[in-house]
Amino acid sequence: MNEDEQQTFEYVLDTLDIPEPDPTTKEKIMKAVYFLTVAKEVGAFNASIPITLFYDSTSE
Amino acid sequence: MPPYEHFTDNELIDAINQGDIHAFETLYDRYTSKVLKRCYFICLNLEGARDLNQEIWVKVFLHLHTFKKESAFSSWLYRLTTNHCLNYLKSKAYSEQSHRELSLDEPSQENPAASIEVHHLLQKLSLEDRTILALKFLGEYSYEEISGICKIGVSAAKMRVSRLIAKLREEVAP
Repeated sequence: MNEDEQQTFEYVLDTLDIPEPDPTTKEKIMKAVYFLTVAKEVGAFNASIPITLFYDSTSE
Repeated sequence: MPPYEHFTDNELIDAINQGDIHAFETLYDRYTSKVLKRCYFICLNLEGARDLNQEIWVKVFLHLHTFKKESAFSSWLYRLTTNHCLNYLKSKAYSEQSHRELSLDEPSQENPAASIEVHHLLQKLSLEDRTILALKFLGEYSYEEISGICKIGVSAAKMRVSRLIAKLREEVAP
């Protein structure tokens, strides 16, 4: 890649002064990440439980 | 908690892949402004860029295990950003006209004069021009790949990039 061109492009991006990301965005993303992590763990946990444990033993 | 701010990107990624969400927070803090700027460059709308930034970070979390560390994480992240933004524009049947109407009132009040100039300069570029620049410099696509995506010849892609950069340089470069 042409370094000069890349430099010019980066300069344009740097000059583009837009507000920093809103802190509530971070909160929302971290919440989503937390739930995704929990969902993944719960999924893995369920998969590892022998199917017989899900049978209703009180009916026997 | 480990001193994540001293971790390299790849060390953070290893920690995230082992389920450490605090490491993900550090990675987010490190790159979120850069991702937001890149989203803004493509869609030229602050609200839209914020939404895209949010979606991109969830996508990063979901797909991080596919990052093979063969290149820098930033390259992978910026390519994902570029693809996500361009797909968004495509899926919304993005209209250049409505985009212009939306973006006219966008410059931030804190903007120095140079930033406002850049904003207006970007507004003058067509969506196609910004797409080509984004593919080349954000997504790091080769001219051959750009040629395939934009359905133009390789030499036309090269010429377009060179002409656009000359235009940017002429108007904003120091």
